[in-house]
Amino acid sequence: MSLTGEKQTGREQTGSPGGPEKKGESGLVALFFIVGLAASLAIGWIVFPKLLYSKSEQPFDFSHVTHADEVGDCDSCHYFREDGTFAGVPTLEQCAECHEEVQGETEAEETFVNEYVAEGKEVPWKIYSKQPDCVFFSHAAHVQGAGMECAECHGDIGESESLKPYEENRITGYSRDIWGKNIAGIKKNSWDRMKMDDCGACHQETMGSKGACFQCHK
Amino acid sequence: MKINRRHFLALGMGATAGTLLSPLPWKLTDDVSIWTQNWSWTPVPETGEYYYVGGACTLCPGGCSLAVRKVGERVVKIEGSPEGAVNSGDLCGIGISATQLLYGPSRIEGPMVRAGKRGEGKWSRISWEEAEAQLAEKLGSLSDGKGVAALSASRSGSVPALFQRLLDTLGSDRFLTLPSVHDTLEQAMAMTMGRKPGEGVGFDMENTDLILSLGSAVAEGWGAPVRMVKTAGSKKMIQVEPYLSTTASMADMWVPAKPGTEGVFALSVAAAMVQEKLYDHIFVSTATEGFDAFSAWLLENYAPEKAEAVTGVSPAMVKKVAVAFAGARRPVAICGRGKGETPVSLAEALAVFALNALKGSVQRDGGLVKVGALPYAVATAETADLGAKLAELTEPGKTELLMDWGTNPFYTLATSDKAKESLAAIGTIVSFSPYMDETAAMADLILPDHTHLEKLQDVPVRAGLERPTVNLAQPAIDPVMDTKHTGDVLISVGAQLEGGSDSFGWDDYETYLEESCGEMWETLYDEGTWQGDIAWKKGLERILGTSQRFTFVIPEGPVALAAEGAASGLPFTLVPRWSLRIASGPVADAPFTMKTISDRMLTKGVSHVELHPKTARQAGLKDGDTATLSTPFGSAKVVVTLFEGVMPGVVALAAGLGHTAFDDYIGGKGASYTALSGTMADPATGLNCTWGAKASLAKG
Repeated sequence: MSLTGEKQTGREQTGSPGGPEKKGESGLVALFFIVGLAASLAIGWIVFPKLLYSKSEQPFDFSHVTHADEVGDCDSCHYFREDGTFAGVPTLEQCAECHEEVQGETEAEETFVNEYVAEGKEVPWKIYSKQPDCVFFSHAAHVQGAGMECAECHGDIGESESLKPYEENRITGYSRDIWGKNIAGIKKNSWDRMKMDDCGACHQETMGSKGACFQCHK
Repeated sequence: MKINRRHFLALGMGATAGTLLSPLPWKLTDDVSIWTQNWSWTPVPETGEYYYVGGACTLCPGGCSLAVRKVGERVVKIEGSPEGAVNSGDLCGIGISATQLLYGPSRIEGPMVRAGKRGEGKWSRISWEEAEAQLAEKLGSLSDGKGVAALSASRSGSVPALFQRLLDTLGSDRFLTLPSVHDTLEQAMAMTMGRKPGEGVGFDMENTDLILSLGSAVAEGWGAPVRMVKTAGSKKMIQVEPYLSTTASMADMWVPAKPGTEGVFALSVAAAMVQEKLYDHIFVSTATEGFDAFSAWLLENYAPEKAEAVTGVSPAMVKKVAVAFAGARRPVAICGRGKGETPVSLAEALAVFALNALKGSVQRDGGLVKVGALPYAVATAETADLGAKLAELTEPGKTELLMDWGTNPFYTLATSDKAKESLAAIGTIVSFSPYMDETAAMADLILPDHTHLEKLQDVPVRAGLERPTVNLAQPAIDPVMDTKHTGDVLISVGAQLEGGSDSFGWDDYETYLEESCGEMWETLYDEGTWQGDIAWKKGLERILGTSQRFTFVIPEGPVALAAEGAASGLPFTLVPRWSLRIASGPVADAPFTMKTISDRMLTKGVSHVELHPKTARQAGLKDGDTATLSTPFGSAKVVVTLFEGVMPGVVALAAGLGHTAFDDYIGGKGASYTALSGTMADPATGLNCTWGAKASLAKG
């Protein structure tokens, strides 16, 4: 109290402005605070996500719907090998079983057949769901063991007509889909985010424990 | 209106509050943490479909069959082949971690010639053509063929036969191998049971019901480690050694005899069996000769009461062991201290043969058995006087040129500072090692071979198996470095020698391999393994007198060899201790395996010695002290660890450490037991049978 009093006294001595001007100044201070707040909120919520992720297209477009109609369920292409390991994204050899020649009329298929099948070159797909290398994940344990549906983690990708742009985190090099589209990390569906806490939450709910570190980080 | 510091402070506070209310800091923290866990240089296994290719391990004499797991063109894991005759699906930690040796920094990139002083580590890369021409020129310009010696990792097989052929062409009879207990066992077999060339000694571990192990590290890698570890876990065991090892801890009875006296203990057990009439009277009377003289000699010199003065084992304990051994249905006594990499005295081997014979445990199920010779079409001849010829390597001026194929003499034969100096004085050293081992580091010319994962080659197993066995190393992967099969190099170099074009007329090694393997090739190639029949009779055939005859031989040489330097007055006895996690042969552990070594053996790059608390008090040391361990052959810095399982007066040091070459992850860790152990030549065979050395410990 005394300190404030001394300061005020000091100002009076130098003939500083009185009441109305003081008010104006504190209003200006508040304005600066608000400007700083608004700018950083805008940077954090809008600019930062745009800077953090780079956008790129897949080598060519692909329709899951068309293929599902032709060949059946997810596991027709994304299957388990005999030894229980998960094959993941189909290899060129698998695709070429049907696409040795161009069958349809799409530009994407033409690109695929001419640039990849004919050249014997694997398609460098950018994988939306690829987890960092320090994480071990077994599809067999979840799909065959626990009987989970593909969509529980991968959402409705199986019903997509075309492939969305791939957004890569410039720092980690991994897909935006791991953290989720929502930069705040808020999710509505089980497949919106695939961070460690999301694994843990599901494990806690279904198995009563988040599990031990080494189960995934071997 | 003036804008002053307060406004900027307000702006900053607003910005801070806004940033904290945005996802920016939290998301950045998360991303940076992921970034730090996924450096681009962190090795990550290939993803993709995996598959297996066969092979055989050559990192120890066990020769296990491999199932090499690959993804794409990369080897990602090594497992034991389920069809493996030696290891049936299992593999030791050293074999598993060979992937790290394959891709590790200790690999030699290609043929090289020394550019600086010997051992300085300066090399010039040369082409294979040039390297082979240089070797041919060096061999061709020797003043005397006898000046050239070849050290081979194996005694038999296609590549050893090529080395021998090369030496024959040059007029040298110095084809050498690292000696092992099998060299002595085979001599003992020749004297007691007769032996044809190529025949070996085996132990039918699978059918035995009691193992009397005279210092053999059954659970730590004797013979073929996987087979023996399985045996240790499933059979009754009596372990005789001065250290409470893993084998001793798994045994039903542990007999701590004084170091080096295991053979005397065996004879005292035999004497007790004779005294108490516990031996197999039928076998001894129908199938043996020389029993009367032998038993009289035994009772006179090795009665338990008398042997106690040497072994320190009470007569009551000896009798207990004799009763257990005689009481078992199919017991077997085995010898070869540690991993069997060092020979025992001929007298000790004869004692073990006699002990088995007293119980009729020779040439029968579960006993000591003959192993038939391998049916190679191009056989290697056995080296006479191996001990004397090995000793010549460390005699000044005896060797003009030394070729090393996988024995690493600068580690395995450098049993003292002096021995190392003598080896370094050899005129020309040629190494075929795929790794920068101690010998390659001292070489003048390096012609790196493929590793066992990169080549096709027969792997004859000489590890005490009950039947003759050859496995096939197969190329799981194209050579990672610019290496060349030593077989191909020898064929090419041999053909360049004077008079060599006829002896080395093959197009390539593979053609030669097929030819040299003769009849067993088809099976070996198709199944990756070849096994012969057992060489003993079973059941009625054995009873009807067709069994092996056995002669009891009274040994002439000493049973227990004294530690050299006994007269030095050093107070303690240094003995090695063995671990399944430490490769004690020519090739060191892979970096991964180094990490599994116990803190009681190695910490922060310094070896530990284990002492009984009494010994430590005597030396004025306590747990954790740093000390200098000295023997008449060298000294090393060690850390003291107290352990009541070590016999008082004995100092135990893990063998297989203290490599000085290879890479930063393997070399410069701990002290080499071998370099401190000296030599103990058995007068009967000339082989170095060292089991330890007199030693002292000084603080600091």
